Amino acid sequence: MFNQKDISIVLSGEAGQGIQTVERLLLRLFKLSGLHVFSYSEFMSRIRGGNNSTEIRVSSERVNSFCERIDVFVSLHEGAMERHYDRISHKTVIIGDPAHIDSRFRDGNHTLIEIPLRDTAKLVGGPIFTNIIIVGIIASAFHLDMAFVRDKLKSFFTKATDDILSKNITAAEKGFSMGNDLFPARRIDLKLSMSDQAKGELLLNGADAIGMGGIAGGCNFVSSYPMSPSTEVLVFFAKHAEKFGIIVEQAEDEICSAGISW
Amino acid sequence: MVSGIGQAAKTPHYINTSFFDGLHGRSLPAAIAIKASNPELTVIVESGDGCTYGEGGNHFINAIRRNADITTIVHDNMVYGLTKGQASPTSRRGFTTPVQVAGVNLEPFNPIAVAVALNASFVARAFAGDIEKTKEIIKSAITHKGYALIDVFQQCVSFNRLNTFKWYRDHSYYLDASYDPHDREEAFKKAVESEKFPLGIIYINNKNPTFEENLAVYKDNREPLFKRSVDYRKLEQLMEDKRA
Ligand SMILES: Cc1ncc(C[n+]2csc(CCOP(=O)(O)OP(=O)(O)O)c2C)c(N)n1
Repeated sequence: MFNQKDISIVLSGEAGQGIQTVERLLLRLFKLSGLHVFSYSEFMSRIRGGNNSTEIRVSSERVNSFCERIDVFVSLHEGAMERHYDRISHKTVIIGDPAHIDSRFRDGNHTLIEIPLRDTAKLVGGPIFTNIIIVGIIASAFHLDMAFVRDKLKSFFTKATDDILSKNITAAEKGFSMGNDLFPARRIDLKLSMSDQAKGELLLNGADAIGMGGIAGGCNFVSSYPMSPSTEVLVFFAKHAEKFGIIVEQAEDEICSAGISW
Repeated sequence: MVSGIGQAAKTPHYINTSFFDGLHGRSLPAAIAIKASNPELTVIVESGDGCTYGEGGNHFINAIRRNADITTIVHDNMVYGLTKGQASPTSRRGFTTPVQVAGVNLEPFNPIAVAVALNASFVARAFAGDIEKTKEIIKSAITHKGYALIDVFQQCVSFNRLNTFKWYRDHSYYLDASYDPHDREEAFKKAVESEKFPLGIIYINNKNPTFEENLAVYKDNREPLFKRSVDYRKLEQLMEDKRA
């Protein structure tokens, strides 16, 4: 069904639903399991409402780019499929709550994995846990080890209370066992071959890479006028300013930032 | 010294000093950066009213707010000299030029009032016809700790026939010794006078720390930035964290 070297997953949710958390968590789980990853996010709105999506490419080999193809599509709200309509094919595995599946895909030609995500999340403690159920489902599809996932959840949610952490773990376990039931029955198997080399790689985003490159090159003065995506670079430098002796100043406009940084 | 573009902005070309000649209106960001990266330097910005209050208006406002210990000397001739005589932000109502054929009908920009409103550290006005007193004001501004603005009334002999040497003299007076520049409300009253403009030190605010005093980079180490080197050990550690 897949070429088994490279699988692209798209998570499509509403702004404010927390798909960035799923993204960060999945990237770490994949990488620490020995898989290469590349992810790319699209934001319609940064605060609430609108559709946000993230593509995560997972591979046995290095991946250096975004791709058009979607192998696994996770639909997290009504209308989540609209913006990606042209990229979803009859080979795409579509995962989502029945309420979140666009009826045009119920034509018998598409692979639908319908899961009572909303009800399951309610059982665990509320809609906020939907994301972690998804993490469990995907971990199962990729044959990750549940004990390993549990362990990483603990190190990921260091600031969560014991109650929230244990609910997150329950959510992941529920997703994992639903996946264990559903995928083999539908003969869907996303196992990729893993390597120790990938485990030891750096997991970086673009802003971190630019920031670290800047520090290595001797950058000691940063000024910028906020705008996505460069704000992340400004945030990186602000965070590490004191440690590395860097002056960071938000400018009143872009021309000021060009003039003040030299 | 740092300057922008204009006739006034050419001043550093006639002085034997290190200087940075920037873009029109953009001298203040560069000057703040120079002071921030090497606080030992004395930094003076010299430019025109068009450059500082027009093209660089947003930098002017934010330079006052940042309060770097630098001095700005603005040669206020109420006209764009270098481009041969168009209205500037400080041009008076009714001033005619080949562009403002019916006369300027905008409210003149009041740099002194704006500076007092932003609680600037040092605000003064001088008259270029009086070299001795102007020299004393410039000296006080340079030795003052914090951002200092001096708006200098100075005629453009080629392109401003309204605001002549005589006009500036007739429309100004010196503040007397009893005036206390530390009183903000009094300063504001002086700043909005328009029959005759006050000359001298109009406002002083010593309460705020300077921009460079607030910078964490100088907390435990006073060395200027250019003398420092990268701590690669810390950087490697930062990168290692990204493997976990
Ligand atoms: C970005 C930009 N816009 C316009 C100009 C053209 N220009 C040069 S100086 C000037 C105004 C000069 O007026 P002022 O700053 O008052 O100085 P003065 O020449 O009167 O001393 C202008 C509009 C320029 N050099 N750069």
